[in-house]
Amino acid sequence: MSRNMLSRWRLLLIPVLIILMCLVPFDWFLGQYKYLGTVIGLSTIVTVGLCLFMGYTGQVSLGQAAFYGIGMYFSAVLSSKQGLDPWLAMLIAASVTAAVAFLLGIILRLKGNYLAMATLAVGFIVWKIAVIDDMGYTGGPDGIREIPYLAIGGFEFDSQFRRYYLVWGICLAILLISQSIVNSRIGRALRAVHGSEEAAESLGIDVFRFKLKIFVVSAVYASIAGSLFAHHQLHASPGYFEPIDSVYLVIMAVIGGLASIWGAIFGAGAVEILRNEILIHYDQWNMVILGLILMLILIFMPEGLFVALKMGYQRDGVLFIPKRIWRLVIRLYSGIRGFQQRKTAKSFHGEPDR
Amino acid sequence: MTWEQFQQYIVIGIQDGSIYALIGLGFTIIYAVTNIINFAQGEFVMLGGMCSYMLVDSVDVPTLPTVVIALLCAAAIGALIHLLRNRRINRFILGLMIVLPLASIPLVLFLYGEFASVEIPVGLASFLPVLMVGAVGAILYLLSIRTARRPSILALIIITIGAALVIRGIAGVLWGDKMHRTPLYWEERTIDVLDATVHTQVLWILATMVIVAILLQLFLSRTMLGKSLKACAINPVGAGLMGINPKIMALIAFALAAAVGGAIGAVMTPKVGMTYESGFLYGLYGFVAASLGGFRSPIGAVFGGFVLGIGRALIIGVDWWLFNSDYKDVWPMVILVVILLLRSNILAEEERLG
Repeated sequence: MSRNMLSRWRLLLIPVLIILMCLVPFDWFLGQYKYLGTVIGLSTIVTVGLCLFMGYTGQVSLGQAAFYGIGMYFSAVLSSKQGLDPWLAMLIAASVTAAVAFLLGIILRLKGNYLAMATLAVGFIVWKIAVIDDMGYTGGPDGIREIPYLAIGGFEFDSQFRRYYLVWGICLAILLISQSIVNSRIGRALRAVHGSEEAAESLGIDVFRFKLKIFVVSAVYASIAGSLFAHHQLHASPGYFEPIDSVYLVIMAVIGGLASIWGAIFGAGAVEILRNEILIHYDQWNMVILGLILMLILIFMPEGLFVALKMGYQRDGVLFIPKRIWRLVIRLYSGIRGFQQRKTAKSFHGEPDR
Repeated sequence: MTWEQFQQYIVIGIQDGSIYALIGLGFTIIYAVTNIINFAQGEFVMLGGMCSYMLVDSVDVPTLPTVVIALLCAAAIGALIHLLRNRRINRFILGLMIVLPLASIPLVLFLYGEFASVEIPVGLASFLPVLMVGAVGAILYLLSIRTARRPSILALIIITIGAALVIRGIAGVLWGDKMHRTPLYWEERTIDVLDATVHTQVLWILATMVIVAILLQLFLSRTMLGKSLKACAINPVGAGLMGINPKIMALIAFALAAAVGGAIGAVMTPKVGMTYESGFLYGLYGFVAASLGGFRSPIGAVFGGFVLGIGRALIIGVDWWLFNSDYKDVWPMVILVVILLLRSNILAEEERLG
């Protein structure tokens, strides 16, 4: 890992990307897109959790938006109606979500198809309860307004400009945390679970506990994103986490590459740009295009978009694009994660990765 | 709840129950033969309703669908040619595969406005959708699931979800987001049975359900093709050794399930109406029905459908504590999760073997 860090592409690319990302909200650069940028950051946070749960552990969740919704509503209710400090409300929301995910963890006994249906049902239940609003907390379909902004000391995150940096700061922290989870013993255990649960069990890995852990982690990510969204939009309503949004989250994870932490940014970016900029008034066309993308990726490159591009390039150069151009594109992308092939070659010659 | 009200709720329950039973039936057909849970099953129902609407109301049609359907036909024929070149196929199957794409040709003709001035009898308008949707099911199988390279369960789940999105999106583009209804089959709106007032269309729905279930049962138990389908469901490898091609059986299962969905969709549209988003919820309910019946048995799915339909109607009727019409959609999902958990051991075993 540490040697990979020294790869020259990574050295060149990361600062450039970071500087570009920092410049986005300035008016002379991409100022009009700072709202979009913030939304992409929020989606990235949820998608990373989904990547950990789906890509690395090999499970499936079609109810991730439910946790987003729980985080959003707890933050909104506690900070607006109960008048708690937003940060405290966010913390409580995350704890509640963790508890809910822990209790729901029992559905992780299910696998494959059944897990997919069970999580879909859970997502639907949470959404429906928010719509029904029996107790008068969630405000029904209209939702809650008058939510305060987040603030540190006297510094309030009351402008789009400031919130962009807040969201991306937290997003970056979460990406780094996830990266270290993946590269730790836990990450290797998760990948073993993905490969074969029986084999992992026989190696002394407590499969259910690891699945539960990562489920809770991904739920907390979604909750944090939901809380941030509530304090960003100053509005919480069931329209923000409909059951179909869980599917869009899966699409983001798939586009970015299911087993790729940094790919989440690209997946979230692609889907959010499509939904919020290109086809903003054409919800049905969104479904067609995103559904087609989803199907095509999984039919022709089930291992994930970017892994497939790399492999296809190594085989015969894809899409009639001359190899030299292709190599440049792929290097630019994979510079972030280090060139896969070189990585394996290195760890083969040197000591094992751990 | 008085006795009269109780009877009225039972009527509603029978209506919904027949609908859920047939959708559940579709789930079990595909699942038994291929071990795939088709998340697009609900969309077939929606498509059935929408096609019948389009046939009844074939004036003022956009030209885009013609192009889409023509493309789909072309793709199906392409797939057919591909199959012919590579595999030996028996003659009957060959005939079927030519007939299914051809079945969608009436659709193309209608869309060209060829018959725009001709009054289409309602009976025809509800029978043609069966063929059309059946063809869509077959095309879906050929284009996506058949084409996928060594798909994992996760990939198959996501592919069918993508297909559901695409179908829903196309329906939204074609028919807009209004609710569509077709005319009732009988002039008379209601008749009295005991103390309850029964909508005549409910009788049609019930009759369709009974007829389709009986025909399916006869098909599975009396014809050679149906028996091969059953053999494939019980033991695909063994069936393969006996000269049955499991892939062809999977194709037939998809076409059959889609046709069943299309049939019930066409018959229920005069009573309940159809929007492009209806499919999602119907699919979930069909899955609950299938899970109540144990996933693999068509009779079980019919039974589960009626239990679900009547139970849901009674929840609306009871109107006590959390059992009221607000929560009518929540309880089935809770029951679904509970059933899945109770059966998790059996299901895990099945998934490991299958």
